[in-house]
Amino acid sequence: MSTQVASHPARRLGGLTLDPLVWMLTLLALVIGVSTFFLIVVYVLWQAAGVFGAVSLSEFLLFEPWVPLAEPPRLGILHAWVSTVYVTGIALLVAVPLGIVMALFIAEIAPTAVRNVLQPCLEVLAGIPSVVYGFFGYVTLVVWFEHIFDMTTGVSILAAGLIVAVMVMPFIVSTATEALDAVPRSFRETGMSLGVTRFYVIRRIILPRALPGIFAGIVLAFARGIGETLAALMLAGNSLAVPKELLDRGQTLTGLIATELGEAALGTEKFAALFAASAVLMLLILLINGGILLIKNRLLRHAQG
Amino acid sequence: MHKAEQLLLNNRRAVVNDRVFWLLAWTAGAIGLLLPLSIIGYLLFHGFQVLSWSFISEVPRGYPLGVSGGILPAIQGSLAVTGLGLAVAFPAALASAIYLSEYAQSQRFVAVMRFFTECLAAIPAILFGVFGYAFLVVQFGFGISVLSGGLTLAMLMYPVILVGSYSAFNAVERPLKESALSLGVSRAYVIRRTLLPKALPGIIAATVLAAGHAVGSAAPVLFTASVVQTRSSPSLDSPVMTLPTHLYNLVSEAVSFEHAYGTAFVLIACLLFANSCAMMLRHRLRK
Amino acid sequence: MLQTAINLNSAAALHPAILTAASAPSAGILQTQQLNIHYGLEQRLFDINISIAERQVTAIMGPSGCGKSTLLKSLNRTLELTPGAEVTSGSVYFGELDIYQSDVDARAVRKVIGIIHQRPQPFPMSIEENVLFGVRFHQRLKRSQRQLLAERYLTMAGLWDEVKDRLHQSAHQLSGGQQQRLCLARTLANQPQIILMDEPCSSLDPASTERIEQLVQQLKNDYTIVIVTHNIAQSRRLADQALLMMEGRVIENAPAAQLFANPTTVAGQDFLQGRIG
Repeated sequence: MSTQVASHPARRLGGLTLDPLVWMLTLLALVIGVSTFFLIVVYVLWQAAGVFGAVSLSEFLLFEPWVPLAEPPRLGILHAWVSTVYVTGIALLVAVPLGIVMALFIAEIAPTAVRNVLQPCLEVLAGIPSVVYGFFGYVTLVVWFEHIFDMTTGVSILAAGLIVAVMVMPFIVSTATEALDAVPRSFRETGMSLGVTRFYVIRRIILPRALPGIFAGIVLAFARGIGETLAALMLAGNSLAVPKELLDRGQTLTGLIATELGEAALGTEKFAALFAASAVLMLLILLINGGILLIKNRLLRHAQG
Repeated sequence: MHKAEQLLLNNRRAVVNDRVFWLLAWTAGAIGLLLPLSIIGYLLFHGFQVLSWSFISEVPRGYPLGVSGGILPAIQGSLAVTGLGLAVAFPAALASAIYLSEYAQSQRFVAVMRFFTECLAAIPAILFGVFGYAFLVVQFGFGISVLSGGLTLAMLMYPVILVGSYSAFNAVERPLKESALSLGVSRAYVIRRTLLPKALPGIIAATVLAAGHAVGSAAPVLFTASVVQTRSSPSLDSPVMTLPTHLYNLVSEAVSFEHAYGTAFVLIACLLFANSCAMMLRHRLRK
Repeated sequence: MLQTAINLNSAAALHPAILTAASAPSAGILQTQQLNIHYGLEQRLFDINISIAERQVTAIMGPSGCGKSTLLKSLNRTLELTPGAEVTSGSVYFGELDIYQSDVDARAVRKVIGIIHQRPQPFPMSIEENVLFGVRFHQRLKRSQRQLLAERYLTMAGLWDEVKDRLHQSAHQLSGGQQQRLCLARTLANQPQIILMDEPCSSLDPASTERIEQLVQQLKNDYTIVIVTHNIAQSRRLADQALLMMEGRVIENAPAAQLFANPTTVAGQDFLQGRIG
């Protein structure tokens, strides 16, 4: 009986295929690839843990200044995350309203031809490398600031914030456009057939429907903003003081890491502190992204339902 | 009559709102068009004046280094790290996408894997740099080298290529897959003969975009691969110059803004090349 | 533009006295003259000349794709909400005013000539908000007026008793038939003169269809109704006047009894006997 089954033609053909091999190799690639994620997370957290022999969490986040060369080293990152919040806050303040109106334009008003030009343009804007943005800000905004505000150097939280705004805006536009496009077209036609203006339909029906999706996009843009490195590094001014005003210089978390990492030796407290700063950044970004990914389907259903 | 007047009055307010909104929206649209055009135009205009054959084909010279000469080693270095990164990330991501879309049995498993992939994609570039520096450069002893930088960029590109390829595979119509499988051939055969050719434009588009992004990304190679100056041509275990870090050095050390414009020009050209490739491929895919 | 909005609405407000006095007795409240409509480059309607009589039910019949919905939507300028659709020549007269005249506000036209779509499309808001959607655009409402108005129009649409306890719940909980009556209430709340109905029962069950037909019978005492239907039996039950369309042209146009008894064209006979679907 069993020999009969084993010699059945279907059986033999199966034995000849590459399937088991391909199956195994592709699975292996997937497992290795995805495990780099866990490797990074665990490794960063493990290296970061070393800092808490030197300072407590509250000192690290809130009280100590950053003087790694002091004896013993003083390792606080208050100035860095305050700068990060400032820069990202300015960026969102500019990019969110502009981005939402732009998305409304693309989804609700623009003729197809205009839309087909505008969207690739924004894609290019999103693709410009961070370091090029930093350079562009340096030769435009920073120079203008020196003239307008009579500053000795124009690098500032504001300059960094404005450039990061340009960087996250295309992202806000694309997620908001996606959310608006998910609202069924029939709402627009039926709404307009009641003799109201397009704006009224948008305000009463379409925006409320798309709002959760737009909100998710803004939160994700925040996560991108705080992870932005080169532009913030080149434009914020690399100052260790806690910034108080828009035109003060500052140093974002990413700027701190990028500035100091090259000079930190493995195993030192400074090295651990830089990893702790990275861990703070990483956990925040993963929490935001993970959270949004988990509820994303529900958000899209809200728009369509 | 009284009723008609009332209606007109309120209508006017709403109509004015509508006009204001319309105007704002077109203004935003104009900004969305002009902002990229002016930024790119500004950089290309200034960069073009610097650009010459010698800028591309010569090594940096002068003191401080970079005030004259060219950026050849930076171009070579960027190609080396990105090339190595692609050589690692592309097969791995493609294989992973094949597994997820063709072999995986449980939808739950696929969802979980996609979730972690997207989390990996969300990690900012600087963290890859930090990890690559500590783990590859220091802990593994690879040193600041093309190898460390390439592997770091591979981690950066892997999730992007994976997600893009996965959706390219998924876009292939179910009936095509099923009718091919119903001929009694193996899955591997179906993948090679029908799925790969169909999905290829999408896969290449995702790969080109990921590579274009990686070329311009300074943060991951800043500590893993790049140095301010090299003389030798790139090899696996030696450090290199790269375009984005070269641009960063030129600006942050205020070496030469002229050469910074030229370097930015080359980076923007890479970006535009990658984007137009991807757009053309996607266009072909739609047909 | 605003000036014309008054003209239109004041004409409407003073109606019917002026219109009947000014026009010949045979002329209807809504008339088309040599109306031609294109979708992109393709012509969909050819030289349509029809007249809709006031406070009557006019049925537009015809096989699917013959252009009956297109004609209906052109009567209140909702056609132009469909990308590509365009009235290329001809006019639609509401009373003495051509609604396609360049200075006419399409929104005012849509308010005075309401439309009910094939699929009920309640908005994602409460039942009361749905009814008042158009009203709250056209006039400012005090909080106390809201429920009153909602009650008035829901009653007219025969829905009040079913929803009076859940006015503030989502309209999506209602059944298909209830949703269609909600859409009717929403249109009635705009105080239209004419109600266009685009196959209002095609997605409903027989009981809901009967409710809608009863409502049409009641409403024709106060409103002019134009109903597009695929269903010959339905137009027999409802219509005073009937049009039959074929491939973008009106081929029969007569009082309903006459049309059903003696269709004048071969295609008309075929359609009425079910040989053309």
